[in-house]
Amino acid sequence: MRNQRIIWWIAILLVAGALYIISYFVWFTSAHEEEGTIMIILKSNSPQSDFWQTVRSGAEEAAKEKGVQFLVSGPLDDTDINSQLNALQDALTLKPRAVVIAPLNDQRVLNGITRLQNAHIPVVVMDTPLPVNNAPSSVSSDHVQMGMQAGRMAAYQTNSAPYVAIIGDYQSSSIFKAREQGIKQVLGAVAHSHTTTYYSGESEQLAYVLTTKLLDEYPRPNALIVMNEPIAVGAARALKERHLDSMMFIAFDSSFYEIELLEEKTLDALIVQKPFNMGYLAVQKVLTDSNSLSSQHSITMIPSTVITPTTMYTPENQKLLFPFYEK
Amino acid sequence: MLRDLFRIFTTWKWKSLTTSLLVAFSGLILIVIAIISLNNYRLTVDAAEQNSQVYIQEIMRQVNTNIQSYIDNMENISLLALTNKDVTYYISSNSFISKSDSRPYEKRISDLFQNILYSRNDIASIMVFGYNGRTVSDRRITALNPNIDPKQQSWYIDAQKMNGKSIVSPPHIQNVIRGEYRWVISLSRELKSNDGITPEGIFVVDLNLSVIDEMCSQIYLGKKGYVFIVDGTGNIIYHPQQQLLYSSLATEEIPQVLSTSSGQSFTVDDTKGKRIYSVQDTGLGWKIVGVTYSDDLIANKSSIQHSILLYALLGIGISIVISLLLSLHLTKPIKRLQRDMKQVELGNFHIQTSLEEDNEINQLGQSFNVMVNEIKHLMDETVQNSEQKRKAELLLLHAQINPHFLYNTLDSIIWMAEQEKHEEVVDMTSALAKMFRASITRDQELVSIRVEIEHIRQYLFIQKMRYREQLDYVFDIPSHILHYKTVKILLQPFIENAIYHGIRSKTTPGIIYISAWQEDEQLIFEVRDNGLGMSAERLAEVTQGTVATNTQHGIGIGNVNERIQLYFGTTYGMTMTSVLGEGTIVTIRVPVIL
Repeated sequence: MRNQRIIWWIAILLVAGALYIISYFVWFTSAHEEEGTIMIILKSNSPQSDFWQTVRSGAEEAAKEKGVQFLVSGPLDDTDINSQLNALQDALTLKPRAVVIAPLNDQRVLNGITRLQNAHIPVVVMDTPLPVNNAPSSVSSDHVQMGMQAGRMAAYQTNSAPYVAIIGDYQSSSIFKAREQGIKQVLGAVAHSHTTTYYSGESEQLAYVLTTKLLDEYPRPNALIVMNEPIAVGAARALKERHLDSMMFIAFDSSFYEIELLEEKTLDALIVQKPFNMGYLAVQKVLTDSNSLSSQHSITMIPSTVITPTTMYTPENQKLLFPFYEK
Repeated sequence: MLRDLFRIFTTWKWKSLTTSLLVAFSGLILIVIAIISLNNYRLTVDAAEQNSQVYIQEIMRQVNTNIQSYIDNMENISLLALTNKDVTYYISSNSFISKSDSRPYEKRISDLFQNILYSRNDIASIMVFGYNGRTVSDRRITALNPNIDPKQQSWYIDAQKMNGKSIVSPPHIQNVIRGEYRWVISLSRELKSNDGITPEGIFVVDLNLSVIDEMCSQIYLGKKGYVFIVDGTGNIIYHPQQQLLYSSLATEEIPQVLSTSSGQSFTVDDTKGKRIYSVQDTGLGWKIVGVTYSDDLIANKSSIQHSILLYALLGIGISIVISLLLSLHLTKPIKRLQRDMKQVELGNFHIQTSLEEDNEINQLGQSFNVMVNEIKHLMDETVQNSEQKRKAELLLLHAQINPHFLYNTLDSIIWMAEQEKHEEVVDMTSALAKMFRASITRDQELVSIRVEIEHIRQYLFIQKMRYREQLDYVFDIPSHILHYKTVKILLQPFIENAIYHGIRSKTTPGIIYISAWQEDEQLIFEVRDNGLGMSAERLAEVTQGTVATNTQHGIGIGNVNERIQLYFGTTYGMTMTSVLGEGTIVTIRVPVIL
């Protein structure tokens, strides 16, 4: 009889214990659920940079869709390496669920990314695939394809014998190299094609001078593909002075002046990236891949779009040319 | 602890009534609680979903109202322009020859537009394009984009088609003003001359898209929910992932949205998760769609789950404790009864189970008590009986070797031997020996009637030798009953009584008649003498056993009666009738026993 009473007491204690454990889970697990914060480190977080602000809004959209908190940082100026290094240091101490970074081209930044990987924080690189061993997964625009699109435009518009002058920014620029490779890949397959490459940095004046010189040469190039906005503006100035509308003039990325040039048909085509998609896909990738932190690193290429004066105001292209993001 | 638990588990009486009751109660309660909890959960979630749907519809209505109010404002501005005399005059085809004449009008109109613009930051620009080639806007000097022809713009063309009614464009880049590329929604309408028939120009007012964007992005529909707007043909007006949709990285349920009427909602469940689309029509033919993810209610949902689970477990816990107590309470009297029965089993007949509740088990207990009492009574009786039997046997033994009788007989033998009556000595001694053999040799209680009669015969023979003519006796025993059995020393005490109390003191010779017969299943022995007899009082005393008869040399007649009744039951026994001076009749009834 006594023994039985003990059994009942034990049973009651067990039930009470079970209830306690369950209530513990009820009250405490819900608090643990929201551990997901991802850090988004941009090349530039300047409100002036439409490109990076659009990347940011794409990244934020993906984070929001996954129900994950996010933290955006980045230098105001895309030469401020220290600011990006600080952001990486923050990531190491904060230990976020994942990091998405558009790294500046500097060895210290690369080292910082390696440290994150060693700390088992999933990293996805945006914009520029890293030239390192065991590189993290990346999401970037397909710059080779951009070059190919430009090359195809040039080849198509000049009918036969395209003579393409390419004006790049710096010889060291990996993005320019990729684009140049794309251009040459297409034109290499075209008979009687010829390409020459020049560099004018970010200088509008240098580009103007270079273009003027090019136009005076013989044989004169019948297509001009330029790397960035200052070169496009400088080249356009030269072209307009000579009233050379027949010249196939192609530029990369969009900016206010490039749009104007496209509107007035000085520019024949703009090859534009999709920064929103880049930000979105990078975050999506880092969140879906973060479960498998393994060595399986993949590269996602985002196709670019060719915009001509006739297609610039289609709803799709308006979105690309005139980024609309929450300020 | 674990070992204790294991021990309890293994020693637990799984088949006991308590366990059965406990399991039955608990199982029943568990099922009921499970059903109620599930149902409760389903209802709660349904209600929550319904509530949130109602709530979302309300938000959508609010968004609609806001958008409508913006559009209404633009409409009002357009009406202002429409009715403004300056505007009408400025674009009329038949006035102003020179540019300088038009300047004051242009300035006034521009001022008016500017004032409107100042008061409203949601408006990006207000412009009038006259068919006469004049253009006026809210800007002091309107620099039109040289590369863009306003007449080619859809808002311009659509307004012309609408014949004076206003039309709202989808969001687009307003590119007609030089150096400005703003995302706007345009409301445009064709302006008529005073006669109201002749078209004279296009009026356009642009609403900053950021207003709509801000409004939509500020709506909180859970963590992942969002708002989007489509026009009547399914083109996206606003969508937070518009670029993804264009790149086919995202899809939207446009056809289903278009087929859903205002105020209705539908649910989509695919890889992106279960979500509810709440559709609201606007006056513009647009559809505002609020998308909420079902698992955004999950914070809500899981807390509901948890609390219901908690209450269910609490209920189960309490019910298990209650059913435990209940089953214990129900089985307690049974257990008590069981325990008491075990005591009885062990031989404790003094136990009386306690009766507390008035129910079936109480009745069982009562019966048990009665039974135990009965058993106890019977046991006592048995004990008493065997005691009496032992006593009777002792007396019997005494009777078998009655020393007084032996002494008398031996005295007689001595006397006869002195008289040199050798033959008589031999006879008597032989009779004595036979008598003793008849009574002693048999160990068992029951002897055949033959032996009993032989015993009496030898006894009477010895007595006859002593009393000579004074005593005579007659046997009338049918030979067919001789093999029946009866208790030993059944008749001898009565014959002894007849001799010592009836015949010995009598002056005339006495005769003892010994007879037996069978009456159905009974044997009846009768010992009749013609001795002195007894008075009625004396007889009563003798039969009730208050007077010890023959105490010093034989067994009392009460003892015989007692023995008969002990062996055969109270239906049998001895009766005695006596008449003073005439004699005594003793009748003994015993059963026929083979």
